[in-house]
Amino acid sequence: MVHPITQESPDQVMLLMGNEAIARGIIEAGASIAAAYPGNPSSDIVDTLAKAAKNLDMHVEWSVNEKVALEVAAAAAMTGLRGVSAMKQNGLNVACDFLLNLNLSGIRGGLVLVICDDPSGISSTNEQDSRLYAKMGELPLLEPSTFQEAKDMTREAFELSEKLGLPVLLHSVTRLSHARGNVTLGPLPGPKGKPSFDRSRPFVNVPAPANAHRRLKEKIERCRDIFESSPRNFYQGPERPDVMLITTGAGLFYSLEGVEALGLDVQVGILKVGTTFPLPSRFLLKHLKKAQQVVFVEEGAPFLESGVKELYAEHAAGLPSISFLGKAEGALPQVGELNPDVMIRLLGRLLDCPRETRPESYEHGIRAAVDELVPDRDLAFCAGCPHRATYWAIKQALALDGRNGFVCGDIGCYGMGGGPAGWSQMNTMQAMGSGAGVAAGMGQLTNMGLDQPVVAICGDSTFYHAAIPALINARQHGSNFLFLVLDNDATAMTGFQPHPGLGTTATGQAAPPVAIGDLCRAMGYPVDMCDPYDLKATTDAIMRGLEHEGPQVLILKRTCALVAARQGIPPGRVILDTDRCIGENCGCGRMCTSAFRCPGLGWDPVTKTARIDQAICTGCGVCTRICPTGALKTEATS
Amino acid sequence: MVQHSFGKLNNDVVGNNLCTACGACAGLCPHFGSYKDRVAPLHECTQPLGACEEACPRMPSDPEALVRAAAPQEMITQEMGPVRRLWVTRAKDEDIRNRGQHGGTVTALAAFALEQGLVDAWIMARSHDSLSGVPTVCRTRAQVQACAGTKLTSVPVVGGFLEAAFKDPGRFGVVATPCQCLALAKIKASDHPRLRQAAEKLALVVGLFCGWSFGHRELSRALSGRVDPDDVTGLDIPPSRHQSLEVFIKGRETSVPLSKVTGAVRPACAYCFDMTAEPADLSVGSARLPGGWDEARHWNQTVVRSQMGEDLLERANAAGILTLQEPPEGALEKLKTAAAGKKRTALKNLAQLSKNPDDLLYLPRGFGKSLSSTEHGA
Ligand SMILES: Cc1cc2nc3c(=O)[nH]c(=O)nc-3n(C[C@H](O)[C@H](O)[C@H](O)COP(=O)(O)OP(=O)(O)OC[C@H]3O[C@@H](n4cnc5c(N)ncnc54)[C@H](O)[C@@H]3O)c2cc1C
Repeated sequence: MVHPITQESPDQVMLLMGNEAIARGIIEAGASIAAAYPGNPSSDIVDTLAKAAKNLDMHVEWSVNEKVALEVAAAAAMTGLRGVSAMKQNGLNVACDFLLNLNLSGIRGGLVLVICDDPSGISSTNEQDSRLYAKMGELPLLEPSTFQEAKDMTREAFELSEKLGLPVLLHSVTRLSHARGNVTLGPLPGPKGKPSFDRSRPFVNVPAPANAHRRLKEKIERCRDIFESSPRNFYQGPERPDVMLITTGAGLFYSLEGVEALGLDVQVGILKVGTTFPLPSRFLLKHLKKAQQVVFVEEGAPFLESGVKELYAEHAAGLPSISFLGKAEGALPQVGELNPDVMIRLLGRLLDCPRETRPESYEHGIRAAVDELVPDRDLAFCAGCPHRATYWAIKQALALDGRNGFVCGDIGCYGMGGGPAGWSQMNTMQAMGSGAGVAAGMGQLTNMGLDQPVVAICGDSTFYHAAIPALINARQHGSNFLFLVLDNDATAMTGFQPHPGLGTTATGQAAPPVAIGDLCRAMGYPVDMCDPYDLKATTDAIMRGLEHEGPQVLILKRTCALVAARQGIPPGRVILDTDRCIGENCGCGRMCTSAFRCPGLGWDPVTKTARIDQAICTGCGVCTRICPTGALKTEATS
Repeated sequence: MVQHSFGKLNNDVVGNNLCTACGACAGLCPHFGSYKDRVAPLHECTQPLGACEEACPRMPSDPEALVRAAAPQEMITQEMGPVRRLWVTRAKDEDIRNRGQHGGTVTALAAFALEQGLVDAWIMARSHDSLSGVPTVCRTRAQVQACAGTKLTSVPVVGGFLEAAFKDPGRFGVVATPCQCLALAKIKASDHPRLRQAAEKLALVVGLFCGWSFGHRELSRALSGRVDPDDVTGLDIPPSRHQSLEVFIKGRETSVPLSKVTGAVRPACAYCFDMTAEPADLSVGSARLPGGWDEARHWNQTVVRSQMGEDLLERANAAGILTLQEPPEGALEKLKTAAAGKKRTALKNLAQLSKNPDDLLYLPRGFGKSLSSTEHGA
């Protein structure tokens, strides 16, 4: 079946998610390589391409990490073709060493790097405005506002990239990437050229990187010229607006909604900028002439805001006196995601037409109702999740070890182990693989009097992504720590993309699996393996690891419960022997629901016993090993 | 504010370094766990009056009241609780004597009680590795014999007993150190329904004399460099004037100056008032004989405390299981002096810990007041 995103039907309108629109833009642009490491809100771009790949003349891969992904995609652009990579903000941090060299060496095809930021860090460990990289790397930056633009500007980004010989950054945010809107499709590309590498024009910045830098400056000035006439920048509104909103990206919707809600279209104008680096100065200066009060509306940092203010400062002589309001003035928040209410309140205040966005009484009412009706829910691991069992074992082992051992961790589903889901057992969490790196340092401090055992924790996908150099480093320097790999056969947090251990690729081709245990043994680590569902064996293995002098690897191997469910029948069925359940009484105290807290277990307030929610329970049976009386037990399923 | 039992054990016992790792709490409740010689609170529990608190030998109780019923009033001593009789004993079976720590009295008696059907199983400390032990259910003579020998680190046998008592039918005997004997006595005396359920299964308690035990990790560390802890087959502490720790290494014997290992003593032992395992049916320790340690090390001193203990010893004697001898002149007095010394040290340390001379934490006010303060420990 032909994937709908690859259909050849120009002018047809499709309802697309922002990320799908970007994927369609990539298809229309005829990219030859799409490579990425998953991370929300960016994952659906390459997920969509991977699903459509068999209809496309395109190599699509989930790469081992973002830096490698960008390098793989750049290869297309070094041989005259088009390549694309997509990543979330954290991924860009990983890739940027390559990016901030490639800007100088340039390219000969088209290379687009889609960056999806996550304001508020809804599915992230940090909040960051990646647009600042455009300024640092002196690279063109495009910011689509609508779903149509998401597709069209992606295609245009390739053209621009080829014109300038530079990678182009396309910036999205969660609200654009994950929302849906109508998109009119464009034509599909013709046949692609044949890649070839021209050895006479190498991509090497040395011996004179400054010369390459000079060429980059020239390119970016050329880019500015191009942006001056870009249709992605426009003004709409009255000729002499009381207030001019200068906006970009998802800010456009907040602006439009604010204006419409307050009926301010005769007073307020909107200057929408789609090319935010380098800024089209002539275009901006022309429109600033009619402004008296400017409000900047953008997600993240005051990026467009400071660019425009800088421009104004340089040209103030020829401009009217303008008062600026933005994030710098505290008129809009510098942290967290924007929302229409913020705009409505601000415009109402400025133009003296206050409108209660949401009455306080209503808000209080909702809060009270929520408190009463909705149970408190922490972030939790799924029923049957091996990580719950792992953290339980870690908790027991560290407590029994008694030396106040701690866990350096990183990013993945298991990152929730820093909170109630994992009984706060994970104690550091920064970048991918940084648990191993931080532990490598902690493991040195044990020689200087740190008398707490050091544990590092890392998922399987994260292991390949970034833990390996840290482990090699630790091995070389004799760091003393226990390294746990939570191998659940999945890159689960981002949507089950394949990783090098799984023997398959993004497009479903068989691949030789790269075994974690073999890699660790090759690095010289003693490697132990255990099934986290077996709590006792896992606790004991961790205890042994804690007591063992010197570095060690323990692989906790158990397929993610969601993957297992997709693969077939659960291993069993958990049932309750109510006669044996002592519930709240001494000797249990609702161990399963108050301490272990698997969402598959509930509490029956009438019988005062545990209750199994068979719709949620996966039958993993870990709770039967926690139940002190044997009231919870597994029953074979036919 | 109600303080939950879990919090009390966590703060007052574990937090104050009073935990003896008897394992009572862990045997009663999954909110506690044990590993080697360590017991740890694992998950917060909110029971207001839990069985753990009732059984814990370091939560307040009146130890003197607990042993009062064992023997007639005139046989209760200040220094070492009920004493019906003191014997010097050893196993007749040479194999048991060779395996046993001293005279093999405990192993011989335990095997005999099993064969006589006085108990269905023993809970005993079996070696886990060279320096630590695990509680084990012994249902055969061979299993009992496999537990012979002293492990000088705590083994949570009370936890082992409770686990077995809740799971298995039958009546159990337990070989236990003084702190563990106190836990077992508290379990027997409590009317907490969970503890009653376990107490019904407790038939016999053989106590071991105990000066103190080592922390497993600390002892390994103290020994490493001198001997390979993995090669150690046994340990003993001869009478105090030897000032040494005997270390048996695969048939060979070496000795380590006591001063090198005292730092490895379990901190909780400093607060223990009982040297002779007062709340037991019989208590067994090493003997003191005129021929010195080389002779005495092959014998035991056995204190008969309860009627049940007396009957067992008589039957064992009649059956030719044990050799019983009158203790040498003054033996009981010496033992009392040593026991009183341990009591005084504990009371001093407890008052220091509570920073209040009248507050003895887990012991009642005025406990041990009548011990003469002029006597000094042996
Ligand atoms: C920690 C400790 C300290 C001791 N300190 C002294 C002392 O200061 N003075 C003294 O006279 N005697 C002391 N003893 C007792 C002594 O070591 C002998 O156990 C006792 O003399 C009995 O000897 P036996 O030959 O009959 O023992 P065996 O026949 O060898 O039987 C010994 C029994 O003790 C049990 N056991 C061994 N280790 C432990 C343990 N850690 N916890 C619970 N049970 C255990 C075994 O299961 C076995 O059943 C101590 C014992 C222990 C465990």
